[in-house]
Amino acid sequence: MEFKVEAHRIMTISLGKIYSSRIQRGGIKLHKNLLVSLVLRSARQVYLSEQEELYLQAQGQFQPTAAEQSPNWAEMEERIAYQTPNDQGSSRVEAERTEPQEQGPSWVEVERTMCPTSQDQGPEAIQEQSAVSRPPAVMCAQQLESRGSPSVCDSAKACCGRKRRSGEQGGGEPESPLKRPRTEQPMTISTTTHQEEEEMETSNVSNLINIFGSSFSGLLSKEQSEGESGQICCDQVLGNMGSWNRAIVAF
Amino acid sequence: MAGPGGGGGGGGNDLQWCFSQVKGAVDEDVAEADIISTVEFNYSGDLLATGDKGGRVVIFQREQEVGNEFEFSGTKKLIYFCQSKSRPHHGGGEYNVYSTFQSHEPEFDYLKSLEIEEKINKIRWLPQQNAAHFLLSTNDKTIKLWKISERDKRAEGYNLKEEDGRFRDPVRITTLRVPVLKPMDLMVEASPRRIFANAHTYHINSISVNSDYETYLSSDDLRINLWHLEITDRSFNIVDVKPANMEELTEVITAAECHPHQCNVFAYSSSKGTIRLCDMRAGALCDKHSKFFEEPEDPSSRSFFSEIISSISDVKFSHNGRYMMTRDYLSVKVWDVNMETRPVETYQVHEYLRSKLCSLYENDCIFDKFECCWNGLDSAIMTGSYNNFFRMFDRNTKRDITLEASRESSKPRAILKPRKVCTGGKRKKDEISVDSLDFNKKILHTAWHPKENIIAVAATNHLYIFQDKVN
Repeated sequence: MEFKVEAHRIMTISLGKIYSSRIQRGGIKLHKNLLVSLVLRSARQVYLSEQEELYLQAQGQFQPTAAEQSPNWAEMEERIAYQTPNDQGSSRVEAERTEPQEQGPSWVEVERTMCPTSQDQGPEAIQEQSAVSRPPAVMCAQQLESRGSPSVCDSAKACCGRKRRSGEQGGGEPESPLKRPRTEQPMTISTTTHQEEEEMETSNVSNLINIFGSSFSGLLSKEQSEGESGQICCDQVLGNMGSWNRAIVAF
Repeated sequence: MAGPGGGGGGGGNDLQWCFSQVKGAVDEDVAEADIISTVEFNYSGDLLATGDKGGRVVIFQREQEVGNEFEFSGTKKLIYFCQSKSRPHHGGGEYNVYSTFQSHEPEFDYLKSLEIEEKINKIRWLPQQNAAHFLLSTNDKTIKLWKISERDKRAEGYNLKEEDGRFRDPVRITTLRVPVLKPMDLMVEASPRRIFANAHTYHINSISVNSDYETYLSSDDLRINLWHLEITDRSFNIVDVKPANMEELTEVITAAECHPHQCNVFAYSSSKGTIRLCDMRAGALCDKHSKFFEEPEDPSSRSFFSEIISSISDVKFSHNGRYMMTRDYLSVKVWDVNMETRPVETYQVHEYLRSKLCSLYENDCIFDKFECCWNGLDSAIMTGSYNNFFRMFDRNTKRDITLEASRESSKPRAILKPRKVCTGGKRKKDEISVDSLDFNKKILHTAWHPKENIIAVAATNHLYIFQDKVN
């Protein structure tokens, strides 16, 4: 379990580094970003394998022994190495399905609180709660517009549909936060692709960074106020990172 | 002990190191532009060059002791050669500013909308062949060849000009005279003689002058180019590790150096902790290495950051060309050029940081690129650490010492006290605990005089010069 928390933390830090490297003076440093992406990939593998372990434990198929409860690095790598891509894909999708179920109650609570308070407390309360739902909505908007593989888009749409439904039930307010990031996104993409030359291979990077950037800023703002939705954001990112794995290394 | 051959028994504990000089601003605030980014002695050790983040180069010259004798030889060329070689400095010889110039300016690449930093990444001296001195300095994209020459005579008695430069009316000239050379105050001029530009897409990390003194190589993250010193409009690409699909990139070039004697051999290190030795006679493109040096990883020490800490930040051939030294985050390794399987010596620089890698990753310190250097005899090696500490290892006695470059020990001829980091348990007096280390005070750049026991240590914006105690 400590591995998962540690891996999660390292991933967050790595995303932040990738994001801030874009604005630093002198341009993106290839060496540093490659190293950060390797750390990110390692942490992600550990994180996802822990997720899978938890899922299997929950299913009762997996009898954890004393040794396996705190796996060391070598065992972790072995486990990852033996997973075929199909397995990984299916486990990831399953992990995604379980995640929203686990966090379902919190979303339902958000919906419930949004409806009554829209009548009682007035616009400030509505905006606060719509702000809470904003990061995942932003995430979904980003994912839809990213040039990912079909599997990414499908899973993104699946989760996005879920989120949208919960958002819409709350009323018209959540839609405006949805719209705001959408208008920002195309502008940033066009300027970055206009600026960066292909030879530097940074057009992939800029898309990635936009996605990571918004998710990271979502993480940043929400981790201070509500750790739970921050967790949700990060899990969303990680669940879809499978096909981006190679793209990350592409730094 | 000053004199040819390097003096005492090398580094380590046989010698006692004394403070000699410190250069830099006195005030506490550190201007970003003043941070020293490279330090290099020239071949004779009489000149010491530093480059900083502001793109400036400062050259210090060792002052001659009065009453030195040096040999004359017949031709003028040899006189200069002898001058630089056999000028005995009896224990003194301070380094004073000789020349300062702006080598690189910040640039803007309009095509990519990227700013190109003016920070001097490396300086490499050319061997002296006449009265002038030449050095190569590079930033991320452009390499420049600078000529540093002295002017101590001035022509006086021109026919067409007055002394202040105003032109004389030709009608007024009634007599002709021959201008004479009169002595003047020494003026040191630096002029850019060659500019080698537009050859690197990625950030240049190394330059190295070849032993043929005609060519040099420059390396960036993915490519190494070979230049001729006279030709600026083209270079040969000799190594290209860029994959066809950038998504498959797993390794970048981190440093490169020419062999000190064999002009066809060079080595380059990678971010995966490997070194490749290449022979330029084998083919135009040296993608196939002649030798591949890699130490098998210890699986028990694996962590999230194993890849980062194994990345090599510097590679240096020994003066005799038989060994290579590499610096990764926690250690220095000496490799025998003839043995590829593992290093012959490994020295731990700051092993106590291994348990702190996560914090060092967070504050970016884990990406610091430390350099390393040999002494003139190849019997000792030196590298930097944090808290303004630097470490020396004696290869013969296997002893090591940790010293600090600080204002407190900056009294003339004060002997430097060895420092010790307390790694656990009870902290003894004068020891410093790992948690008290200042990670903002890092010594990345050090240089060792090629012949004597004089070292230059760059501590952020100050340059410290230490000498061995003359017994």
